[in-house]
Amino acid sequence: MLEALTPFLTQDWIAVFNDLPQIIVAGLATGFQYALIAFGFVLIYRATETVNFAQGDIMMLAMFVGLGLQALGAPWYFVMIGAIILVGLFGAGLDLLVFRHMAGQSPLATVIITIAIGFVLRLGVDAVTYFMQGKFPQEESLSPPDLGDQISILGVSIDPFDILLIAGALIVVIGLFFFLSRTRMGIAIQASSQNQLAAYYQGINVRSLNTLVWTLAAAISAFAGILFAMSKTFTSSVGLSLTGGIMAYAAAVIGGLGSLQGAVLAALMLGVVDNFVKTLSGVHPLISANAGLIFLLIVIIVKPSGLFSQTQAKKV
Amino acid sequence: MKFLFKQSYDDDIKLLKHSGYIRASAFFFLLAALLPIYFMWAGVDATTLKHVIHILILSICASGLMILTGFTGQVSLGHGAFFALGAYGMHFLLKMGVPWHFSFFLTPLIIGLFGYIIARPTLRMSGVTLAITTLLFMLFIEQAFKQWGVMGGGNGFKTPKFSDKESWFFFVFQPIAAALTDHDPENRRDVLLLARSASKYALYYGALLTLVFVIWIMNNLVRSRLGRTLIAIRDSEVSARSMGVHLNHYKSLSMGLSAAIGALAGIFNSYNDGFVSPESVNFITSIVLLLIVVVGGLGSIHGAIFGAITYVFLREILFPELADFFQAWANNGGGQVAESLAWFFNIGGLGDIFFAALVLLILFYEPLGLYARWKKTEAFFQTFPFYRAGTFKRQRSYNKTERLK
Repeated sequence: MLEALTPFLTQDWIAVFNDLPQIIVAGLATGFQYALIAFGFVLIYRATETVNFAQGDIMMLAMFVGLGLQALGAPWYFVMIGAIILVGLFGAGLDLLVFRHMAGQSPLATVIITIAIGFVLRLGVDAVTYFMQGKFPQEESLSPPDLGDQISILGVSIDPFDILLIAGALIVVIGLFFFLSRTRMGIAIQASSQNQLAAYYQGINVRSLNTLVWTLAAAISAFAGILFAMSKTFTSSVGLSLTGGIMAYAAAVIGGLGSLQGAVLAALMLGVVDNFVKTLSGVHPLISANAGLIFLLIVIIVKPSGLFSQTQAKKV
Repeated sequence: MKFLFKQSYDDDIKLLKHSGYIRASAFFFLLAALLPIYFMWAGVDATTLKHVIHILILSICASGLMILTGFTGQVSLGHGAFFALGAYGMHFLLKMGVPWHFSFFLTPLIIGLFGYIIARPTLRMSGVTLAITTLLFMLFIEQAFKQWGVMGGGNGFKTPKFSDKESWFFFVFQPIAAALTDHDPENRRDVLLLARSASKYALYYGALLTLVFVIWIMNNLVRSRLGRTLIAIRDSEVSARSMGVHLNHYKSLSMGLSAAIGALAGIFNSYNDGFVSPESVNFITSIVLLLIVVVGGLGSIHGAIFGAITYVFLREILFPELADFFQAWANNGGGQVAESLAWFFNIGGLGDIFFAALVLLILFYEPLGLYARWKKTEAFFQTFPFYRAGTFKRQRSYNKTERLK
């Protein structure tokens, strides 16, 4: 037990602190990917009360759709837009074909349906790749846009792709917050998330709003997936892996499930912490690979309601 | 239809309510107990026996998960971890020199306690935390096993035979097997073969008795205060809490119970596979276990067994058989169609996809799974010819949020 802690004592902390800005920027880049997935996850949970464990696998689907588009010779921006549109439509189809009909069923059945859909997606992508290429998908990656060399801002050298990633994610997140809190439709979504029946009585078309929410969530995770695929390698199990979907779910929980701001902030924290622990030298691989789990455990012990939770116990 | 004349209050809560129950249970138990004898007599190959044992093991594990998911309404996405922990724990204890029988009981106990300890703090957070934490925990366990040098690290380890020549089972088994098959007791090779198959048959009976034990526990659980508490939590956490149920404690308790039963199944699985490796702790196992429970029917004891049979049949018997069939057809000049069909059924994981798709269909049209089908068929014959589909009509309601904390 103590051996696991010695690397923290023998660390060259001055060098680490010199690298800190760089670590934080790289961590934010990862964190924003988690944040986007977590955003979709929480959005669906808030609006339709469905815990969607297929979110990570929808992201994975977007990656492979991107791979297919790239194989057709599309440039990177077309790959991104095409994947977002196609996977967004897939999300809408999912709601129209499956989840719309699950309204009123027990929440447990809905959760398990999402798990089964994720499972089908993952194995389906495997099988389709096998069908097309005669082998199962290996470590794949999308070619990132050619944005030139590392640039240095205030002495911190940054990959230009990270800037694109952070800027894109920021725009999307802020835009969505604006949409949810300022526009008529966004407020309708919030209303139906609080009480579907009351919202329905007010003349809100809850059904089509739910379809919109699913489309949005799938499109956001597609965006996250394409950004992920351009910066790292991935396999078909990325939807439930420690570098992909699971971290987003963990972020949603840490942020107090049901709080969009919380999920985004928690995802950013997770990204930075994860990156920070990985750069420390000599840390036991079990610790550095499971920073998310350890962070989650600490939050559970310190603040079990989640870092930014606002929801209260339901009154009967 | 049988009309019962109840003569005491015990009649309401008896485990076997009337002679029909006794007859049916005895029938199925005898069927299961005599199956290996039939296998021996008919000379069925070892792979089939392995699949049957696999069904028993999955039934045990799914019964455990049924307590958590079916009765308490909590989702565990990392049940494969307890499955593997059982195998690792058992063989670690054996390696430390703990006697077999002792470690067989000690392992589920420790893993069950472990499950409780993991779940307890986790459940202080909101609803699905348990699912996500178990998921993270499973990944942690997988990596930890890869680092565990004593147990073979990333390569895993081979398990010894389940039962050796000195065991009492061998003395019972040997004369029966020798009578049913054409083994020569003087031939050394035949005796060795017999010893090997004796170990397999001992595993079968061990798993069968464990399954019966688990089913008995489950039946008693449902009738007891604890079981009613768990079902109350599933149906409404708010109401259960208002009745004075300590939510975290009981949810963790059901997690501990199902972890212990999962570990028990894991022990048998390690013997059935013949080896244990960190790769056996994966999502596929965990999610398949969950899907088995759903296919069978959430909240029913039969369900776990129905689900396990469906899964093993689809995944390990039907699809390989179909692949072989089309391959044979293609070899006999079946042409392009047979060739591509054979190729299609040879895709790895196809059985899993079909199983998951089956789950989607079942949740859609029969949310209570195969068990509901079973009940409907039963009702059809009981009330013949007055069966109405409306009897089982489900009530739908608008979602109301039940976010606690």
